[in-house]
Amino acid sequence: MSNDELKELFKEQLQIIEAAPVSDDVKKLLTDRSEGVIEELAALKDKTDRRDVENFRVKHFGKSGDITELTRLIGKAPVESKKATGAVVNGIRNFFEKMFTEAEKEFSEREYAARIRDEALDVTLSRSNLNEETGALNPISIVKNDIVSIFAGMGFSVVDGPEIEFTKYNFELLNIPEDHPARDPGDSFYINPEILLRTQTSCVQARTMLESKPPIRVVCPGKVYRPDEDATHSPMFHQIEGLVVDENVTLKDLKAVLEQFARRFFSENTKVRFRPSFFPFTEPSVEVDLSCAMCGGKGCRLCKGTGWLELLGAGVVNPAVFDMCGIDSKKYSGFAFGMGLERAAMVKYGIPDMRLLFDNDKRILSQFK
Amino acid sequence: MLVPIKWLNDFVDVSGISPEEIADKLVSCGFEVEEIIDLSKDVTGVVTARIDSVSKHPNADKLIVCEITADGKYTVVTNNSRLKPGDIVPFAKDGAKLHSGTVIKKGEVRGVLSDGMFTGGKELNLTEGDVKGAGEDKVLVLPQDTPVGVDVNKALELDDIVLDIGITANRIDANGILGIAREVAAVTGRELKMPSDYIDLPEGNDIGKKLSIVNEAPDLCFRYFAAMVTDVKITESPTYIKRRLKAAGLRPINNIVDITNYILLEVGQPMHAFDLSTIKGGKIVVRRAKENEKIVALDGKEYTLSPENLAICNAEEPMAIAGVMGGAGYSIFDNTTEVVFESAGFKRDSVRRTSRSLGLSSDSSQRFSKGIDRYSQLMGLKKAVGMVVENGWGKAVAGTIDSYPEPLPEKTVEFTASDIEKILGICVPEDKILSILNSLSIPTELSDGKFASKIPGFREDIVGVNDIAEEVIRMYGYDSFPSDSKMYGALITGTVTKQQANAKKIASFMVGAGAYETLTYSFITPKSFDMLGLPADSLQRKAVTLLNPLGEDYSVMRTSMAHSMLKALATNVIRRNKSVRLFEISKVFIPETLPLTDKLPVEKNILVFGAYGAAEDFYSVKAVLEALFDYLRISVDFSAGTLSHMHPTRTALISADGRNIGYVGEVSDKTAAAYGIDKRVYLAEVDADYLETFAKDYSGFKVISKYPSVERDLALVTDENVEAKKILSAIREAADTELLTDVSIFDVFQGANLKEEGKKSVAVRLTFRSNERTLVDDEVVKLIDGILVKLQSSLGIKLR
Repeated sequence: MSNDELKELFKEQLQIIEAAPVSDDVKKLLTDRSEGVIEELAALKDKTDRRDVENFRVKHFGKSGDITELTRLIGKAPVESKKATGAVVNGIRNFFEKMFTEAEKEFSEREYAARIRDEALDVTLSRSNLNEETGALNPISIVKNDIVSIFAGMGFSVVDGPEIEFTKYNFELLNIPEDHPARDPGDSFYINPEILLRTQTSCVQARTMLESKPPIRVVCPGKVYRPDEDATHSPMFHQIEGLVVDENVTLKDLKAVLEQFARRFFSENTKVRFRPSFFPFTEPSVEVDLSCAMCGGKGCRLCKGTGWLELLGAGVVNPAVFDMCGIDSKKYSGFAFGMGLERAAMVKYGIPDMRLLFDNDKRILSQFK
Repeated sequence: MLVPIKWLNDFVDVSGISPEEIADKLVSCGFEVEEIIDLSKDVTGVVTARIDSVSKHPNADKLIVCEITADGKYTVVTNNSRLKPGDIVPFAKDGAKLHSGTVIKKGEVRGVLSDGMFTGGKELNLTEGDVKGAGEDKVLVLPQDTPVGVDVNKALELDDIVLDIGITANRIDANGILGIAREVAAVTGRELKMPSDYIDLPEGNDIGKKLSIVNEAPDLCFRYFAAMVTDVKITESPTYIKRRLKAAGLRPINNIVDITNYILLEVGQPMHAFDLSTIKGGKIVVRRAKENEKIVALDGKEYTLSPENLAICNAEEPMAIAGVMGGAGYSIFDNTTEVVFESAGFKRDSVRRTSRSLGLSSDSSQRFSKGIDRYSQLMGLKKAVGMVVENGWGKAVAGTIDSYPEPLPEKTVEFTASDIEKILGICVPEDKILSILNSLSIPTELSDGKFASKIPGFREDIVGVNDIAEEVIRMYGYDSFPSDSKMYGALITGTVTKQQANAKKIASFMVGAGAYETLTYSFITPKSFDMLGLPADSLQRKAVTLLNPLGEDYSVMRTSMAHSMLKALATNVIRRNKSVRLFEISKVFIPETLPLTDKLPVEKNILVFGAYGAAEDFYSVKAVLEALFDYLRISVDFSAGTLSHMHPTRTALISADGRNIGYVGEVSDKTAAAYGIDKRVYLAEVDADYLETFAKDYSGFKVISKYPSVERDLALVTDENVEAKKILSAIREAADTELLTDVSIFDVFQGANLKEEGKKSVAVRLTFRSNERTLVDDEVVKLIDGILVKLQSSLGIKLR
């Protein structure tokens, strides 16, 4: 409400006073006091300090406020004009109360608008503060977690085994005899002739079969070690191995499982291709190619134009392995598969050099948030 | 394994099948073709030409102008004035590409247009061994019977395509042209034919009159098989042999030595040839070498042998290091007339060990190291004698000498089509199974639904029905497996152990706390022990050591994560990253005894946390751990402690349940300097196995009080060396823990404001609350009085 409107309304009040059947003294007192109050009320429009509003309330509506005091006129008035005095005094008080409430509300609105204005922030600005930074897992952990949860969804449990391992579990029980070239010191880190850093997570397979009974459905992710170091090899790297042992398990089932995995891990339309290969602990053995995650099979730099990425080794568990690990190869069959997590991460994120995964520079690590 | 198509063609007629098709088929049946090499591709546009006439160049004395016939008529200007009409020479046409990469253009030479140029052998990548005269630095004059007007590669039969094939470890039989040819025959459906020079060895025992065999080491030499040729003429090998050897990177030497190398490539059987006259006592003795027995090998170097090494000896001394290299004095000489061909079977690990211990590797040792079947010795000998006889280089001597204590037993695998289906999950028709196996030279019969496969000697890898299933499916085709099939099986729930779940929880927490996860090698440098300042008797120095590390820097298995983390921090400091928080949960390896015997070391998971930056200090790093322990509901105790690599007065040891589970603190500046770090860096290691095992799940809901709390702050003055922990526990002991719901220190300061030296001011906030009523002031005052009395009496602490 503008002050002009206020004054217009006040004029009506003055006319009511003028017309009221009360004494002239009372009229004068009411008129004089009202005129003083209305000036102050109008002045509130320019106030910015809430204390001015509070002071106004105390001065006029407090216990001994001058508008409060006016009500005493009613008591003092002669009996015959008591009613009329009451009407005019209460009228004027109600008027001011109403006007003040209005003014107070306007003040609050002005005050709020001013505060909002003052508190304005450039919301596009960012503050760099270490304590508010979020870290990140490294890509190997991310890929491992993804793969593990896909297989967990298919009923696979997670198992683990030692990284420093007996050759028995790393070789013998996996059908890799003493004179096999894979046991050459050039291909493994030995601690002594019977103990080495495991070269494959497959040793966990052997341990699992020795320790548990079919049906078995496990994956074992972990670190493995081989003496190679270049853009696609690291002397320490990660593999995840899967093993299924049950009745009537076939190579066709392996394809079904890996197809499911590939579709979850890469995309719904990923295709799976088998190529014959050799691993001592599986027979038949296959290399498993997935249609290229980057080009979808059309051929690109990542897949070297072939449309396929070689990602897993797999096969039907060799009955000789079952026999050595105490599982009845007449009754049970199984399949196993393994893949390199570095390779999976490199394919998934387009990382060109495996050594970057071990670089530990924040500028690399922070890319995987 | 390099396989020239022309060589392959000796065994299988592959005409009409492109090299790419052969490669695809080999890939489909399990042989990875790494590369298809076109030997002629680096020389193009060079044709054979006959010089029709030669005339002097009108403007230059030293040049001549030749009119030639190639695939048309051309004119060539050259400075080779010795060329004459009738000579056949290589002619590089306009646009031709030479071995060096040079592209030839026609152009005017002193006013006469030359259509191209004549080339020498070098420009065509030929050597004296390929064509006579090719080694000389002048125009190569070709033999008169060379066809004219054809591509020079074709004319000289250099236009071969070579497949570079990867052989899996099980297929030792495929490490030769013959083995690959068997596969190609099966996969293309063409017939395998054996060349005529695989002759039947002449029977009799003439050889026995001159030579005998004693095999003293049948455990290392499962067969020693030899034949002899006499009236031998040592000469140069024919061009095709020299070319094939050269294509495989072998140097042609003479016909007899070349035969041994040729058979290595064709059969995959390493051979050796001795001059009979060097076999003293007419006796070949296969035995372990004596300690310090010496031999000068064909490479001209002297090697000292030991009983670890198998030697092929005459009656007196070693003539060859078995399977590795012959001795210089016992090989083939220009005047050799009687030759003994050795075609032996040596155990792969024996050859491998010897080759390694002597630091001597050869094509033979590499081949033996892969393992050799018991079939190739005979094939090698048949071929060697056959080549000598067919080429007229000598006569075969009747009989062989043979030490073969354990001949390969006949092996038959019996199975049914349903056995195969149980493995593959798909049905392969019986007639298919039968034809596939027979095409692979695995003679197989089918009667009444039962198959019987006779396993040939070269397929030692086939032992059971699973192997048969593989043979069948790799030929039948892996694309026979349907897509979108289902797996059936027992209902199993995939489970994650509590430890595994908690490990993931810890990692997520650390990420939330702003830390990036590192990945560091499990093997570290033994220098790290000194870099960390570990005392000489520190248990951490007792680490598992690798026998064959990639270098000293990667030679011991870490016993703590400190070194790995400090290196990661250093990487970031040195690369000027202003701040970082890093963590890793990885294994450390604690051996119970060293050296390791029959007990593996304990593998412990350690959470390591490292940080530096303007916002970090001891408390910020410790706060992360405190929050983690809180999150895992593990109560711990921090107490001042010292560690060799840490700041002496800024390190806290962490214990839980009375056992030490780690530490947190500032790295000592000396340690930091050892890693090239010039900043304050912070480090914590915590036993992650403990956290993963003892982390508690949420349990036991507590109802919250509906009555208001009363907060009181106390400003205390205490001796500066009184730890916060003591003050807090004194307060907790003094007050009714039912009512004192929280107590914390929110400010500590020391300095001039305090009147007394050696004192500090500690501001403590106490929160009281009852579950049953609103606390009144008097009660709180009484509780505080009690606390103050206790603080005064036990720690001498006063109100400020």
